[in-house]
Amino acid sequence: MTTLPDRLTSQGQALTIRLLLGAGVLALCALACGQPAPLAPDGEQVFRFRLREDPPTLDPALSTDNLSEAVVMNLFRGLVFMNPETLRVRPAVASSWTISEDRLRYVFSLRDDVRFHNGRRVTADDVRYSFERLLRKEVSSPRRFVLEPLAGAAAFSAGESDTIAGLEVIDDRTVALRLEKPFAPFLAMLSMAAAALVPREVYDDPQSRYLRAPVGCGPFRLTGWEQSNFIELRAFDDYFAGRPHLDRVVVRIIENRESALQEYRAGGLDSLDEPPGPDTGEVYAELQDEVLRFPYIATGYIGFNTALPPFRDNATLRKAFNYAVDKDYLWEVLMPRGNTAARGIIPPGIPGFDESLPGYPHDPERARRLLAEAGYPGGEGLPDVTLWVNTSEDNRRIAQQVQADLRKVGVALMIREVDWGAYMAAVAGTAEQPGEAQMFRFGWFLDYPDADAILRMTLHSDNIGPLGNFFRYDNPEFDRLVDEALVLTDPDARAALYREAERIAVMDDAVWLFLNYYESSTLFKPYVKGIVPTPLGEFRIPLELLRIEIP
Amino acid sequence: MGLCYIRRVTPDAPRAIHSASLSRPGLSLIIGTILVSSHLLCALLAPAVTGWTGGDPYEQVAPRSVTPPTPPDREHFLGTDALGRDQLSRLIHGSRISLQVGLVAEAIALLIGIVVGALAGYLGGRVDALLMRTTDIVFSIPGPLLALAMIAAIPEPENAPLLRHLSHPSLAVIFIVLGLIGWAGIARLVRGEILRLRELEFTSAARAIGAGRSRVIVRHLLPNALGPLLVAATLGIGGNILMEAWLSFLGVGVRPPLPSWGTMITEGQAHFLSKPWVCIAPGLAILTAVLGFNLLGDAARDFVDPRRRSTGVGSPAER
Repeated sequence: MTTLPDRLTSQGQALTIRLLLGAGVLALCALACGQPAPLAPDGEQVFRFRLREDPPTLDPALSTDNLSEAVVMNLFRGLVFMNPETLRVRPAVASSWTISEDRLRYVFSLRDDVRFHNGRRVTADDVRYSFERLLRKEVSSPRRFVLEPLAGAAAFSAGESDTIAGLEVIDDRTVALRLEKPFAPFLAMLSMAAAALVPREVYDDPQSRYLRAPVGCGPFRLTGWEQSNFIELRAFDDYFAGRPHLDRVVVRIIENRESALQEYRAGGLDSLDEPPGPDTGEVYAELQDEVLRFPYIATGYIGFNTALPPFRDNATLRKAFNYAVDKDYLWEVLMPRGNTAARGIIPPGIPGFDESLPGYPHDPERARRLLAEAGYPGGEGLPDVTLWVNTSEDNRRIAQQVQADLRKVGVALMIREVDWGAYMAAVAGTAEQPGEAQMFRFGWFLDYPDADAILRMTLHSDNIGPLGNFFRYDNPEFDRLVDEALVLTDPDARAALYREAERIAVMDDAVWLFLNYYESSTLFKPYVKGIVPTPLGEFRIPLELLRIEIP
Repeated sequence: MGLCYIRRVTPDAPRAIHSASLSRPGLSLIIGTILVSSHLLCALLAPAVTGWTGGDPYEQVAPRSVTPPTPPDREHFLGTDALGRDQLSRLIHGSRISLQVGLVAEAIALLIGIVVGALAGYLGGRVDALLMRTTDIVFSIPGPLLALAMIAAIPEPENAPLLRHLSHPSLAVIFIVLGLIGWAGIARLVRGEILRLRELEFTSAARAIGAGRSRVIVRHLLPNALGPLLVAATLGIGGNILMEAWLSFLGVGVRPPLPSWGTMITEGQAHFLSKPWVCIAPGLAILTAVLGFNLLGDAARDFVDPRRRSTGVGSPAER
């Protein structure tokens, strides 16, 4: 499960720091800029971008967050690769593959020109080693689920078997994988960092310091990491898909948002992940043209707990709430950065996104009518409803706007702000017992770019409780469609099923108050070319395609 | 904050402090009265006043095309807040909350403080020791921390028994919490006064004609302790207003959308540099309200305490 509190609260924290420390900002800046990152000789293609803190890990089996992936995805490659723009699976270390009739057996043919950064050729045995490593109990990877569809994966993880039954090395350049049952997103999951290939001689050798000096077969190799200051990557000359244009990438660690912005304006960064908001006046105007905005695969919503009154068995009431809230005002005027009003569940960019889904446009009249239909004319007789949020400035603002909009149709909403731990307990409940929150604001980031990662994870009745279905939504028809889509391999047929399932959850059952599709917005200097915006987020823009063209 | 309830005055110090604060004793009375009465007026007449300034404090009046807060203009003298609501209306309605908190919490504190102080002072002995040690315990914990702890213990006022029937449960929690913190100072003060008064002749006289304990306390001792109590209570109101603003600023006080001044500052702090009016207006409101009550309390002290009266009526040597 991945959620977005970090993204949201960190913005709030940055603001607070700016306000409270005032002069301290200068000191922070001095610290952040104290040791200059390596300078570029003339003509060298260097790209410098900012991370707000050091990546927690550079081990692909352990990385789960976008900071780690920002680096890991450039150092490593797996059997397949996801085209960041179309989100379709493309060959990488495997040049081709075949899928059996019963959709259980995948046979991959490996390229013979792939080398690790240490110069050794990648063979089928490296696939076995890497996959076993991910599943091994001692590694305790949080991303073990990536390979769990493999037959025998659970037994291997539990230590009951020395090999993975579903993994077979046929020869030096051929690997066969067998699944327990058909699972369509499997290929997409193989493109995740966790399924990357790593060399045994490095990752089995505690002396190799692979956590600090990772070795993969990706387009860049790591050449320096100075904690809290910078990470340096250099182009890998023997990269199998061709040497990248860039000679060098410098990842600068600058915690303070304000310092980072000053650094970008001063020319010390070529890209910055947090553009200034419209409230910054002149700076905003100055940098407006350099902001690139593109969809991000996450959806924000206010969930209704359908196991608790008054939302239990009352879709009409849930629809009334949806019509009452003016999402366009919320995201275009009140908080105009990084979001667009949502009409449904599947975010843009994900196959299955429904352009023609009507959703719930702002319509207070209709909201009042539905409210009356639901049994509460003018809000009369409606029991107390509390909207829960985890503490953050943005959340408080969203909650108050929703409160104000609902007040206009006669609903008195209370707001409860609590810290993350208490919030999650109240929201998720347990598998048997619903949480106490009736309504709660949440953001869901898709673990893998497939509608399955949001529809099944958050709304399938199998996942009721902490697994993701906090709403305790249980609709057999919806379950059936999502299950069916899981075993199909034809992408278009799957997308159609997901659209149908989404319509049920959105238009019939109104299981959420649909708030926003997230957006990435990133600053790029005009001389940076070859940018491929991707729904996977600003840190997944492929660096190997970037060029620096200084006129 | 909580520390300003009672300022300790030693007999030698007052002149110096006094001349340093305000040159003329009447001045603090005048300024204090003006500030406090204008706040009282605002609070009492809030619906009428906001009707005139055009504002429901909850309605989003900023144009739907502009990102709030919008700057002050003809219709909205203080602009709008981060959600586009009229700042002036919220400020005026906020004065109701502040004064309610100040007065009700102080009333609770007085009630508890007087009972505890009077019993301890008059009965003495073990009762005194027990009550005063309890007071010491309350005193030993910093007020703000105690307030936070107590608020954390009542997580959801909307569902709390008794409180849930009130129109604003979160406000009632603040009343109770501040009342339960403020009583300790009052109790000490009352006990001190009672200890002093019960040795005086009129008390002995009352006892001599057969007055019972409670009659002596209620009819003879407490009325004579009224002066210092009035001073402490006035200063306490200012302290309560400040504490409420602080708690609301931290997000644990009055729940949105109630327009508490502290909440208004929190909501405005993100815009503090670019749109300063959203913070400055409620900040000034808190400043003037607290200043008003403190000045009034100071003036009352001058009036009550003959040693600090500069008109020369009475002198320290008199007693």
